[in-house]
Amino acid sequence: MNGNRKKHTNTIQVGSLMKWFVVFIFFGISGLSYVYLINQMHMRGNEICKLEKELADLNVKNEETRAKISTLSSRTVLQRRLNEGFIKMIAITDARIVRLAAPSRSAGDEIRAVANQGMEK
Amino acid sequence: MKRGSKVRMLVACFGLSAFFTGFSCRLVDLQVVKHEQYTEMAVEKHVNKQIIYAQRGAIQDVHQETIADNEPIKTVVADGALVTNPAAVAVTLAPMLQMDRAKLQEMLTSDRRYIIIKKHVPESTVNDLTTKLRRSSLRGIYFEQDSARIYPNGPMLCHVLGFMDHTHQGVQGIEKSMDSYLRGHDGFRYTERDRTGKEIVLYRGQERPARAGCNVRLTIDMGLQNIVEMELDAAVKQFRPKSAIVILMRPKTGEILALANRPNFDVNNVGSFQPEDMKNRAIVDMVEPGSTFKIVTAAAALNEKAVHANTMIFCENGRYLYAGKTLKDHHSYGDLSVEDILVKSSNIGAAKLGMMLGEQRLYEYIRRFGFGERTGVNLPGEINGLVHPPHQWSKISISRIPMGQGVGVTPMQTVAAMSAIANGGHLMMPQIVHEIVDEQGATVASYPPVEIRQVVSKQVAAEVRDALKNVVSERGTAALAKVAGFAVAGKTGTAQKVNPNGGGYFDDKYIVSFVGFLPAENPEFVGLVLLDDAKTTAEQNYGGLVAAPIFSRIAEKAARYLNLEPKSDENAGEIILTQSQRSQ
Repeated sequence: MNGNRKKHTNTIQVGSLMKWFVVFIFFGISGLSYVYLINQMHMRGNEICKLEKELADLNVKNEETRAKISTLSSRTVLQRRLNEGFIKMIAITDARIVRLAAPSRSAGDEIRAVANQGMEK
Repeated sequence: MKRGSKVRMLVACFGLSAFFTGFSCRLVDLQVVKHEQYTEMAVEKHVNKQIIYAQRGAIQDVHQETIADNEPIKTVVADGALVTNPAAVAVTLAPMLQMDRAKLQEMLTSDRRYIIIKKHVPESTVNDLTTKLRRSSLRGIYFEQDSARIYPNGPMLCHVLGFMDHTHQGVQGIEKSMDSYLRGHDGFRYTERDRTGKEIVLYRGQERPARAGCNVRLTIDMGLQNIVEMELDAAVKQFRPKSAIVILMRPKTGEILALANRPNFDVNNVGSFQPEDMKNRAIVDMVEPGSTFKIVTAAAALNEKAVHANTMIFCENGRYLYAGKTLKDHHSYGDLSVEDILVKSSNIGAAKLGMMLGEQRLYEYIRRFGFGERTGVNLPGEINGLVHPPHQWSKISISRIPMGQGVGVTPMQTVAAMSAIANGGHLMMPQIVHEIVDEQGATVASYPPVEIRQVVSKQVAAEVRDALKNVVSERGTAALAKVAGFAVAGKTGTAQKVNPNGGGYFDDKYIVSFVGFLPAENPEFVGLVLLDDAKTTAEQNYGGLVAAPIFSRIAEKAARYLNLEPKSDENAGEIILTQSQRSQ
């Protein structure tokens, strides 16, 4: 009788379980990584958008400033400021202008005294 | 199985098969047959082509001073499909954009994807609006970056610069003639948006960056332009002419250094001015040149060796009956040399020189000096002028054309012709564009001097120049054109105005002019001053008395600006006019 009584045990198939576990973990991690990376890409995309907007805004500000400089430094505006007395200018009279005649050069002018004269061997 | 059940089974199976076959067909229809159509619809819904607008190039003077630039502005735009509550959006926008609420709501109640609400909105207003719309969670309103053209100097150089229409196309001046360079090329970017309208950067498609327009550098020197504009304003205030023109040109290269017209207009506010104010009269109006044209006759006669500078011509004591009409001089002259014909501006002497040349040769020289054809200056709308061929001349034409009657010339042609005399007989094409440079400053195109032709020999040009030097002396008609320290050569012109209605000439209306150059021996610039119908006394209404002093003032300041070295023995002392000089 005892001979028929076999001890029935349900052994856990660790190898097989591990195999499925690894597959499950692999797919799980892959899925999560995929979602994570997609989210990262969206976040980076949004950051790119934000940076592009900041860059565009800076460009616009730059343009605005340039246009303002052009306007404020234009002859018309400067003339108006001059007439208003904001800028003071005194006309140069002919008596104050000294014209220097170009020096006439003669042969040998190109030979000049130099500091190390006589030091050559 | 009973027969009835079998039939029912068959009918059911057939029905099911037909049902699923129908589905399958529809699926094939959707996925295969109409694939393209639905793909396009999907793309249309989510993908849009975003235009990246190119920035228009600037216009600069020869020293790179900016004379036309761009100013960023914002345009408020609505996407009708995304505006779910037009009334609320209208309530928010209307007061800030200073628009009528009802009208705005009507604009927003539309399915159109692109509705322009308002242009030229300041940055501060846009910032306030953005905050308000975000707080109220209202969607569908965008702010597009745009730009407006600004001209920092206002009316200065307006006829040369021109302006643009609302589509940013140049319609006049350099803005038109150089539009292809200034405009640049718009870029694009294909983007996909989610259902909230936000861009999905990951799905960004093909992209081409915008290429900004090139900068156009003119030959104009704003320092000289400023001198010309100020003197022209003073002249207009003094003489109140119908129109006035000043041109300065460098004769050796044909570069235009300054060009101003009156009436003028503010380029920043074109809408407030009449089309008449916007005409660049230097190239689109023709006038009878009067005595300034005598340089053509004299140079032609000398070049053809019909006469030499000292040949004496009998000037009929001031009255010359030719072909039944009497030609008069202002004073009775007997024998005058060819040089003195220019110095005294004798009409009879010029007519006789023309007759010695003959119709055909005179006509050929008129054309060789560039009259009757466009000068080729890089400005739109230039006209040819009017020079009839000899077979259309009347009997008296040969006595009238040599003194500047019966021909129509533009002021630009007159300056170019005088430049040919100043430049040793070489006629140069007037240039207004110096070079085209790209964003990085690299030269894209340059405009080197172009010689059109040698009109007269160098010797003849020198002879005419010497005669013109004497015109600007106590002996000549343009003593008031003198500039202390410099030898000036030039010629006055006083032409009666043609009556467009009744034909003939007005008795009391004149076009007075002076065209000259400085320094006479080595000219740095040629200048033309022309006033149409100056309001002054009949005794004063002459080129030598109205236009010559204006030239003198401009030339003096220009010489100082260009740092030309004066010669102390030239034209020093007071100018005293004789009665005969006053009336030339």
